[in-house]
Amino acid sequence: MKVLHDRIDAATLASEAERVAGAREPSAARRTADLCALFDAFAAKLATPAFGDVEGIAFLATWLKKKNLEAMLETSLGGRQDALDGFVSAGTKKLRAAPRGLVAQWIAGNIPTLAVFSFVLSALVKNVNLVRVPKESLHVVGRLIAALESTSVNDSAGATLSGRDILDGASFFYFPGEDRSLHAALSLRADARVVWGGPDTLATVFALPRHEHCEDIVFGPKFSIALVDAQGRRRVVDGGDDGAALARAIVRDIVLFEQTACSSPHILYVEGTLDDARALGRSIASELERAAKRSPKRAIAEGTAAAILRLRTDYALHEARDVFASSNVDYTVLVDAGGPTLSDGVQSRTVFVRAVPDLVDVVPIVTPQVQTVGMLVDDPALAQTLAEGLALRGVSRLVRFGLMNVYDQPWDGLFACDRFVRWIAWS
Amino acid sequence: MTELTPNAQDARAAAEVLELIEAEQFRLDPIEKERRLCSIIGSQVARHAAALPAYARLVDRLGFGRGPYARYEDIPWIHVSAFKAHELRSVPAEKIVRVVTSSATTSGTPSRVHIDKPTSFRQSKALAATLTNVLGKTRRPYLVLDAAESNAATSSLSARGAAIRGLLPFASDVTYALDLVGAELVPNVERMAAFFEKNADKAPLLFGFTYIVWSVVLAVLQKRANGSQAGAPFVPAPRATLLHSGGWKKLVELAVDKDTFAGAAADIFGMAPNQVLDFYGMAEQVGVVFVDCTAGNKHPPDFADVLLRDPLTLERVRPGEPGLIEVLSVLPESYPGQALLTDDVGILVGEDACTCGRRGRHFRIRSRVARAEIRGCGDTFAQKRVVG
Repeated sequence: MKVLHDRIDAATLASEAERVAGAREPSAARRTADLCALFDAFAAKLATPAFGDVEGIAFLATWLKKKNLEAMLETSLGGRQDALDGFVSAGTKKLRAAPRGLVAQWIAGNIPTLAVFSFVLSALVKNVNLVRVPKESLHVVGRLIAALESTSVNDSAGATLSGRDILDGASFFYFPGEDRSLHAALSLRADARVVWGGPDTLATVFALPRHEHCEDIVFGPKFSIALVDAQGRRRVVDGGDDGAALARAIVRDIVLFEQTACSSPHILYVEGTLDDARALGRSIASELERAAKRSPKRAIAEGTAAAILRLRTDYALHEARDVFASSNVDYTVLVDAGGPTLSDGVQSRTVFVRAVPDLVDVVPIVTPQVQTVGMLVDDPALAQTLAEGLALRGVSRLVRFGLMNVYDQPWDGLFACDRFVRWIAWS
Repeated sequence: MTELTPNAQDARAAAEVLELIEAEQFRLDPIEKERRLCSIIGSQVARHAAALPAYARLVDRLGFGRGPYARYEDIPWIHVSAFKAHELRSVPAEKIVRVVTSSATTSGTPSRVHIDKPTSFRQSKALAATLTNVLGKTRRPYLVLDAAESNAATSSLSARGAAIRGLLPFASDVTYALDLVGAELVPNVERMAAFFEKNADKAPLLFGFTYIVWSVVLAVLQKRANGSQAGAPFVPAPRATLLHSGGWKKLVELAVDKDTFAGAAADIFGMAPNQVLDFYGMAEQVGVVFVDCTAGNKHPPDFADVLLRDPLTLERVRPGEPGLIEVLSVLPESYPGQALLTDDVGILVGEDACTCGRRGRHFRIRSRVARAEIRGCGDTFAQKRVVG
């Protein structure tokens, strides 16, 4: 059985859709605990040197662990995760969480492992899946699927449950973005559609025909920022073990996925003056320098390099700005006192450190486009005020540094597992 | 050995610049050239840094140091976009005789480059030295494929105007082929016909901005020729040379490549396609032009050079590899234009010994850098943009 297709055509997509749809019943009959156990064994395979070259593999392996998956289901389903396996009592009635059925997925190209995250969330609640994978992620996805296929565990009935069984209900493939007929064919098969991507991808999928009952789960274009209050800044700048750990956590969020994720920080607003921002920028740059030695940048688009060099020039010339940068294009820290304003993200380890007199002033400029806010705000009252304000402005996540790119639930304002099921009442 | 004072260093550097400009071009050994240019630029950088605090900040903040510089890579570069946002002038305002502005086709904001008398003098001499190598010393009838208004005598000069003016030393007489009617450029076919009637056999020199030559001149005349029974519109000029520059971005959008352009020009003017010569230059670096040689490569003159930087390492690329184009020049006195990094990508063809006989590094233009392709859920722009 071939579950990965480098370039699928209409006939193969149709037959794959039939094959996958045929696996709906066995898929729905599996026990959630068995699925968690299988993915846990898959995680153990990924946490080996054989996959050390895959960007973000350590996090994927941690995320797939049984304990994490169970916790995620519990949070997402409001403590009623047992409803995935049968009706459970809920006051005067009974509830059941049934899979939606066939889930069609459009995966973005910025994170090579994203297809696996999205597939597992859907498969964990017993859906079958047709997954369009970006061309550049096919190789990584192929390796990961092969690892899943060769994984097996004993299920709760004493039988063997293997990755191959799960993949009976899955197909991964690529076709060109401009092939509207294949997009439409995929869309029309779907009981639920999952879309990860930028504005162009969203517009393409939204324009496709679909069944009336089809549920759309959208992870659209977002970017992320961070807030550092005066006390937090001092902790980083003053150094010591605490400061070094904080700087490492900030840099981890910047470096992972080269800032291509919607959860990657592009602007750090720091409470204070230009000099305060400069001091924080210098500390972050030092840590970025260390990170560049550990994991140097492997490639950069010409356009990104040019954008970085333009900004470096501008910030270096400007009296009221500053810049700390590597001699190549490994990292760039752009410091200004621009106040509560937004800038286009550049990506590729390029971060604005922007002084603001009061972090509360940042709240009004935040839009629903801001997904995650990294917070180093030691003042509890200020943190509370910021969190309330940001929540109402449309932010999806408020996390401490080091956790910005941790794929958690809720994400983009929704519990994906909850959206992947239909709730049935029996009273 | 006695150490030179800054003034003496400046004087010596100025003398060396003049020597480089006045010598026959494209003759220097590339290693010797790099040594000489680095030495001159080192003292020029020091002078600009002393006169212009913003430039001093750049030199220090980006870790270049004040020199001396042994390699081109070590010389402080400025991205050309800086001339749009910053007034980069390292002489007093009263010394400025002209402000050259760019066409602003990409960003909508023009560069403003401040030129003083010594810089202007050098630029004129340098351009003449380079073009003499290509065109020879004999003055020719000069047909400007533009309107006279583009070369109006004001304190501000567009890049188009600067280029038109730069070719005047090669002209025996000047004819403007276009009229400015309102805001529109319109070919004056009668005037052009008269020019060719009179000068077709005198190896005329034609010059225009690439996009204007294509969209206003060649396209209109081609259409006219196609609809006419009379064939080519002018007396053929088989010894003509057409120089053109700039505006390739728009032609790329129209899918017009160099051969198509040259073929169309050859048809209209009855000239040889290999005498349609593209040259690369920029408003921020007037006086430094890179004209196609007979092998199709571009050569820096001896008072300037190019450094093609790998976008990841910023080190120089090897022959055959693409890199971001940085133009180095010893000409600018009034602004810190010694090393300008561009958004253009070139391919380094070789370090020396082009088949055309010119010495030194030679390259070809590949394209502008593609806009960074941001995909996925991180594909978004801030709703309020202030930078970038």
